[in-house]
Amino acid sequence: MTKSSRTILIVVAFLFICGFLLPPGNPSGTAFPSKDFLHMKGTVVTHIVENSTDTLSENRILELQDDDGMTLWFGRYFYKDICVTGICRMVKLWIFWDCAGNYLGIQLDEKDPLTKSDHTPFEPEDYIRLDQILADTLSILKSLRYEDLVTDEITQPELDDNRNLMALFEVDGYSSATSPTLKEYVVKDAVYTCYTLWHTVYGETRAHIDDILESRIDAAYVKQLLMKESENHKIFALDIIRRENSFLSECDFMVLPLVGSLDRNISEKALLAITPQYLSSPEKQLQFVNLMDHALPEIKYEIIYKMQLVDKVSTAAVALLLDKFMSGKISSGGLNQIFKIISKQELLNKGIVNNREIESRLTQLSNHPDAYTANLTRNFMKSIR
Amino acid sequence: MRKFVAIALVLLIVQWVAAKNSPSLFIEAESFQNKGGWVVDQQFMDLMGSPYLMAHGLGTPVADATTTVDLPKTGRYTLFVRTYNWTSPWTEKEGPGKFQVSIDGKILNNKVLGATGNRWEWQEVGKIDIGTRRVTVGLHDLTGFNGRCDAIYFTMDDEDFPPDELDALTAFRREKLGLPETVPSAGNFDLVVVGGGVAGTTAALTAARLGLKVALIQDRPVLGGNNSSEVRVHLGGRINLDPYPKLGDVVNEIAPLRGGNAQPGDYYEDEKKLEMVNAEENISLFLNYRAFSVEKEGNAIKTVVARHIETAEELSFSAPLFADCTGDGTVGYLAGADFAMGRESKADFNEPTAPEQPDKMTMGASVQWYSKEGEKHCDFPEFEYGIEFNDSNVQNVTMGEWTWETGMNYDQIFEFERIRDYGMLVVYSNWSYLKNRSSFREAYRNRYLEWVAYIAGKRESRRLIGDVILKEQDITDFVIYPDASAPTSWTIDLHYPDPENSEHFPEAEFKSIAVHKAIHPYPIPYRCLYSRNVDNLFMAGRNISVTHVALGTVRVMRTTGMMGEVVGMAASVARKNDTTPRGVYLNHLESLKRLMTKGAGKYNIENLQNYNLGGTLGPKKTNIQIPPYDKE
Repeated sequence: MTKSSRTILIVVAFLFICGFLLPPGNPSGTAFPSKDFLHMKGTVVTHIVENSTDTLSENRILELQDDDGMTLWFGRYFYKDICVTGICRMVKLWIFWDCAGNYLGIQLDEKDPLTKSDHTPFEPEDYIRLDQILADTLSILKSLRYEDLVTDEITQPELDDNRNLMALFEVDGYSSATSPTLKEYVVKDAVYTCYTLWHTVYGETRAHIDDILESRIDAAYVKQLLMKESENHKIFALDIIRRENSFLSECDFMVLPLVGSLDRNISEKALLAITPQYLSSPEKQLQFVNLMDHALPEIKYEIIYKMQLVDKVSTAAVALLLDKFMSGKISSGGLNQIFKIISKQELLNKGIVNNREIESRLTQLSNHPDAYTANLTRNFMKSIR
Repeated sequence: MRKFVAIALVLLIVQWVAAKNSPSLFIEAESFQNKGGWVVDQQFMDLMGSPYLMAHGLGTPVADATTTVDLPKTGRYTLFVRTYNWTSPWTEKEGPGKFQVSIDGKILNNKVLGATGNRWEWQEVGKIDIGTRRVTVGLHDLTGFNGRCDAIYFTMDDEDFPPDELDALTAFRREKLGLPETVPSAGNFDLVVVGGGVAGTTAALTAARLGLKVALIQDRPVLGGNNSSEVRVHLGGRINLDPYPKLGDVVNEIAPLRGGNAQPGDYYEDEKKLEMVNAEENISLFLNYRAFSVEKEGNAIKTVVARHIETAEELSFSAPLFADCTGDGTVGYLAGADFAMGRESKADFNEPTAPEQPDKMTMGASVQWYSKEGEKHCDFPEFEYGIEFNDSNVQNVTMGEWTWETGMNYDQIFEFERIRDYGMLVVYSNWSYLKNRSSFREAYRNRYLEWVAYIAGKRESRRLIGDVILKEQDITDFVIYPDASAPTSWTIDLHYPDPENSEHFPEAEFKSIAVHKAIHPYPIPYRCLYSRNVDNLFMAGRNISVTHVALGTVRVMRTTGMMGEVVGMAASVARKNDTTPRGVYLNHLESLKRLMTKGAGKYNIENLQNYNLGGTLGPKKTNIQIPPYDKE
């Protein structure tokens, strides 16, 4: 359950946060590691996390919004006890999520850095590694229990002996000896820190953020997301459309051009949002096929694969695909894929290869000067007839 | 006594002559005119004598195979069928591969075949009176569980038993099929490439584009080998790397655009590979032919003889140069080429990854599979033949790709039928448990097996020895030879039985793990690509001259494809200069380098080979140059 209240003032978020949220003893608020979320400009909206299971941490999630009311980030300040065998140490830090609820980064006071086994602070490369671990939604840490983190080599008598316990503490901070199989998945000598933070990133706060975002979703919101320059907003919008395809008809004029984006992340997501059902309209098929003129090479073929899934492909779209091949927009490696579309259509609609538009193109291709194209076409025509 | 022996001998001869002349008919199952739902399996013909028909129905009986034949005369015949119970290595109970034989649609004597026998054998169906000479013989599958039939024999002589022993059976077949003493020639070529996997295909394409007259012999109806729709392993490794960035252009032309193991058959684009080959006028393609013998002259191969896997027609192929791209090093083996198999010891090459003692262990073969969600409930028969599953050892999965790997401790050549069969057995047994008895069977209620391979994807067997044997330290220490050629970029990726699976199925594991050692892309010496003791034999593919450990990296198919390109180029240099593969290294290396620099790509195809490139690359150590080879 989350309650929200909007801070009307458009201020430097940092001032607000420092003044109202940073606990005593953390006056500087200096950004650390290098990402500085707290100095970004925008409007801060506060969401209260009711019945939080994390009683130590702030029960507020802050959201920084831009001038259009779109999320720049969500952030929450945490106090986390990192414990092993009853000995705990507290870490204090901000964790941030992006407009879609994905992990974005952490920030902490440079006077209070994360530390490792020997109490030495994290090095810059440790923060980079930690960032990667926290961004990995499928991390091995997801399925592990706290007790899985210790190797079998540590026996109970050792743990009962305080001296030994302290020795272990020194070996690997709070983690005892890091399990050999875990080493490659965590920051060296900081396995419990990684574990605790990963489960914090993907814990109750993330669920609250998802609820907040879910309650906002409608066509207008999706359009607004698509209008944003940032990749994150666009990808979030495309993910929503993929889940709820009814939005596509209202936003297709914004989604289709994204198939031609040179950012592969975006173009792939845009392709996923376009369903074979959407492409049942002959006009849309033409529009869709034409997108390959400016698309990345691999996306051109994804367009063809998508067309293979369409139940009924118009003759005009098939002709257009063949034209794309003949004009060099699709290389020799893609002709057999176009033929697969024709084969499927021929099965459903006997006679497509006899359509004058298609037949003339196939005849032209069967006399193509390059033997591969000519043979492939001739054999294709033979097989289909 | 002497008199008695003489009489017995005479009687035997009379019996043999009578049998020889008595009316009989021998039918190879694979030559049936209508194969119905049965598939032709040629993988083990060198072991058991012939390709055979198999009812690969994934638990649903397949359509009858039929053929119409003319018997020598009407009358009473005894009928034999060559088959056996393929699950006999694991169980003593009746096997699942049951089928029957019919004449003109009528099942003979209600006899069930394929359920007994622990090796290939002739099983008697019984006696039958046949009233017309022309009859239609049918194979009627009862289970869909891989019943198999090699051949059928009709005889009117009660004393005429077809032989079981392999040599005698081979002679019997030849005689009954009327195969000519002299094998007809398929023609004379500049280069004969045996094996139409990725390496063989690129070797043939490259050589043909450089002007050689090439024969490409492949024992399946499709090209691509492990990358074909029959095995469905995706390509791996990187192309277009230093020191010859044009190597890989031919691979790119035949390569599927999409990656993924055990995906729908379309993904593997068989037609693209085939039409690329058909587009080369210089290539004569012989699909469905399997090489089974060679003739030599001195240390060189003169001809390779191959047999059609359905018609048994034989053809001989002559050429000054041959390329063994069979994977198993079959041509080299037949020609007496030196080869290695199994793991070398640490002492052999001082390899860090090698075991202390040498052994016969190899990486295994994969029978991949996948299932699909249907719209309604579907059954799968109970299937338990010696391997027991329960909730704790069952693989709770809907597909199986490379990790389903069997036979690491068996001979990947001489025990390969058993290895492949075990791969199928565990897929069916596991699936049957999931569908029928597991506590989570509800989740599988509507799922059905869509595809299970019957052509196993083999990783390792013979490695033919060349003038250089590539070893682990060459790669990890970046020891560059003067004849550096096709680059390998995959990790040193060696497979072992999955310890957890071994715990559940000791000595009978069917899952594997991979242990990786990252490398920097490394150019393989050309001298690994020809035999050290068969003068005119090239190799490309997994049967090149490497240690077991080094095979771990070179074996992926974009890399083997580039080896094929190099072999095609070297063959053109050898032909032009009338020399041997070794002669190319000794005297014409610069010509080969020029060709490797130029590449053999023909079509302007974007490089979309960006899937399964391999993990992180290892560090590049100091480039250690080997001094030029001393010709003396």
